[in-house]
Amino acid sequence: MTDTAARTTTSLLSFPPEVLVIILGHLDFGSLARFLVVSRTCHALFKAHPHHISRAISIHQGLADPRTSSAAAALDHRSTFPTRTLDDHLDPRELARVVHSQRWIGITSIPTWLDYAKRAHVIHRNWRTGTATSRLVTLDWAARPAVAGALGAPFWRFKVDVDAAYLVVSGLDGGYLAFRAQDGQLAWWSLLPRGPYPHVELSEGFLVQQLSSRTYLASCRTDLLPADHLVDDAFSSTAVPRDGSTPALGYVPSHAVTTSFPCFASKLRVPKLVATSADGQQLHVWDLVARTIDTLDVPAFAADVSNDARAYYVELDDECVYVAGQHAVLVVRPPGWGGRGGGEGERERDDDEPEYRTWPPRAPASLSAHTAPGGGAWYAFGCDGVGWEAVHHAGRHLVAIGRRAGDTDEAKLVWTCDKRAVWNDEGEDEEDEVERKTVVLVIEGADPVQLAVENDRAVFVTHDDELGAALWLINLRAFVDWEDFAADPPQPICLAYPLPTLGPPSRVEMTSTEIFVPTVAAFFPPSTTSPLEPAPEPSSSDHDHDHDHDPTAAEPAAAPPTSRLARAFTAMQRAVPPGRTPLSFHWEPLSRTSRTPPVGPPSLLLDEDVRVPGGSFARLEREDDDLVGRLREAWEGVQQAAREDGIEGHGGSDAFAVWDFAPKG
Amino acid sequence: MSANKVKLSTSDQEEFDVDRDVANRSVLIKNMLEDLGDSDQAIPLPNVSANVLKKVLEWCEHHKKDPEPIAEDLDDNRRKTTEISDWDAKFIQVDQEMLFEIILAANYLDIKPLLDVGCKTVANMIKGKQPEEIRKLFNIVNDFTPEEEAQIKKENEWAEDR
Repeated sequence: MTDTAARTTTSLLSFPPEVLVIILGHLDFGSLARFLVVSRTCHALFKAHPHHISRAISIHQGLADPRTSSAAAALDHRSTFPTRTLDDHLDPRELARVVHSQRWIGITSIPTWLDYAKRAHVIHRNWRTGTATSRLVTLDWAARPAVAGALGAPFWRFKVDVDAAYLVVSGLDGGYLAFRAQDGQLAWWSLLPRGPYPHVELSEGFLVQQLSSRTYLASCRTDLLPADHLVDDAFSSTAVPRDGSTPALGYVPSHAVTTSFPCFASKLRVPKLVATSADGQQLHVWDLVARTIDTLDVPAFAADVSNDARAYYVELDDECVYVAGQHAVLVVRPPGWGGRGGGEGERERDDDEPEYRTWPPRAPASLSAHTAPGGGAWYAFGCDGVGWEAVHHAGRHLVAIGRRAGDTDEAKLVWTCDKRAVWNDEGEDEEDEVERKTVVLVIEGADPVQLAVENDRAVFVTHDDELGAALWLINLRAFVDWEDFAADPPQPICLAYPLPTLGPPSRVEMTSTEIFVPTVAAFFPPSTTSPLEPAPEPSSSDHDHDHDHDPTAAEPAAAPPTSRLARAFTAMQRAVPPGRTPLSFHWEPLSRTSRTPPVGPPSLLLDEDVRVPGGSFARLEREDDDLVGRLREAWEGVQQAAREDGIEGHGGSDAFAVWDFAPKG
Repeated sequence: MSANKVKLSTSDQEEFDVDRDVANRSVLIKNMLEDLGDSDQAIPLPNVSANVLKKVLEWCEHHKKDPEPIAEDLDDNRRKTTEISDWDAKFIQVDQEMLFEIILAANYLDIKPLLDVGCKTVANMIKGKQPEEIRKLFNIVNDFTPEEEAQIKKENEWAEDR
């Protein structure tokens, strides 16, 4: 070998093993995989210390961080990891804690750090690439005719109780039920309260039901009750699973709270339940553990972000409450809440008064001429008349969605990659930190209607009356400013189009490995357990396109579809060209002074002169320039079939479509 | 000799007079000083040559006021796992031989943060490279048969980025 660069007296592989293990611990798994085939010594090094190396990489790459799920993580969940050298014994309790903190449904223990790394890395990779398997979980209402008779089949809202592996739903006409997430078996139910469209909040084993506009009932999961708790529950029942002896967990009422005003939006993150008054003027903060209740006047809501004084959505974290209104989200820092807001921009604060910010921020003075309502930019008040439907956070990310406004065909997803920047607004007319760290996904062709944000990922559902719904995934990342962001803008990944839902779904929830979307079982042929898996086209097919189907597309596996809806839905799926959707996306800064090229899958809405990777779409469009028209017809067919089958668009759901990002086996 | 100074002696018999708080960045030296008590004796460092020790002391001087590291705090540190502070990045811009010598010296002298800087630097050199590039960079001979290489690649498929 004549390479001069490598001529040194000390060679890498002669380092003591403890040093080499530190070096490998700073690689990522992809680089480790390549390092292992360099030579026998490299491979032997990993073989000798697989767990120390897997542990270090998992921690450094963030794969051992606690995970959140179902927008219900408790308010403070941090952890630290001590440095471990080769001399140190790896504590199995540490691994057990990390495994538990991943909230993987059905996984209670993993033997070694190597096994852990294999699972955690593949899950991470699958999310990044949008690689999921899908399945249908049909809720087993029929098993209990008395329950089905009393509560009716469809459900309205739901939450995932990861520790119990339950899907907890509220009945369309009242009552609450828990079904096992893996097979949809009924495990627990409460016939009360009765009343249409009940809300459900669930966090860390606490289930909060809204009994009336002024009364909330908190129930505690039975495995979390103190040992001396007298379980004498007249309100609910548990079911013995058909397959055996494990007694089902349930929820037992523990305490109730009555507010002085009717409440509208609410959100539970143990220990706090936040509820907004229907007029948006007040916030209730109820501490379920300390059993205290605080009422906060928030006149800024009506004054700063809303003309109609309607709180559309409320969310909270360790430091703030987020109240979504007509023109923006009001960020409220109640007195005495933990944490600090910004770094440099932090001011002395009066600890008796709440602090407020508007998010997204208002336009800088120099720009305000462009940003009158309807004026086009994405600042607060930037567009007319449309509310911010949802606001969610994960880690430092803050994301909200809003529908198409006024005459435009543009809906928005607004994302700030460091929510603490909201408080750093010291600049006079300079661009504030929050502006630099905020971007807008401009959505043409549909409205974002549901949003879930967990673990540096955002999942959202788009819906259009004429073209149906789609499920999208964006992997979030940190960025410094627009230039940094635009150099490599995240691509929305389409997980499903069309989505088996007639109207906007009531909710979408996400765990560390799965996405749950409410659906109606009648979309699929009877007795199929995983109709969302890809399936080959029937050989007798009347069309001869040789294309793969969307991996999440539903196809009859064996039996032909029976319901009109299932047949129409299959036809719709076949009408969608593979990998394409009738939406288009691009990113912009709040000021709209720049934009990225289109992101996401090639759109059916693209103009012909827009370049498409590979060029295949442009050709396709020329061949068939009314694909969108055909999709409209197909979707109308789905809706028509649903009407004929007696299924209503907003009539609740009886099943879940589930996307699973965990490795098989 | 001042109580605040320490004498260090290298493998090539050079002696360095060093401030005690600079020398204390090395846990090895710190422990030896505690064992020795007050003494004018030079501390022998038979595994470190003068040109390497000079470089290591430059790092210790710059970092003499750093707080003791406690744990790898997940939230604050993990995203910086491959990030190295500006000063350290400049400091570690040396040829491969000196880099390796600094790592070995930091390991021997038990200077954990310097060892980390060195190890991260080597990790960054490996990251993103193909096996053949890694072999070339570190002068490693591929002693696998093609079949063995394919087998190991398959075994570790789970770790790939794809």
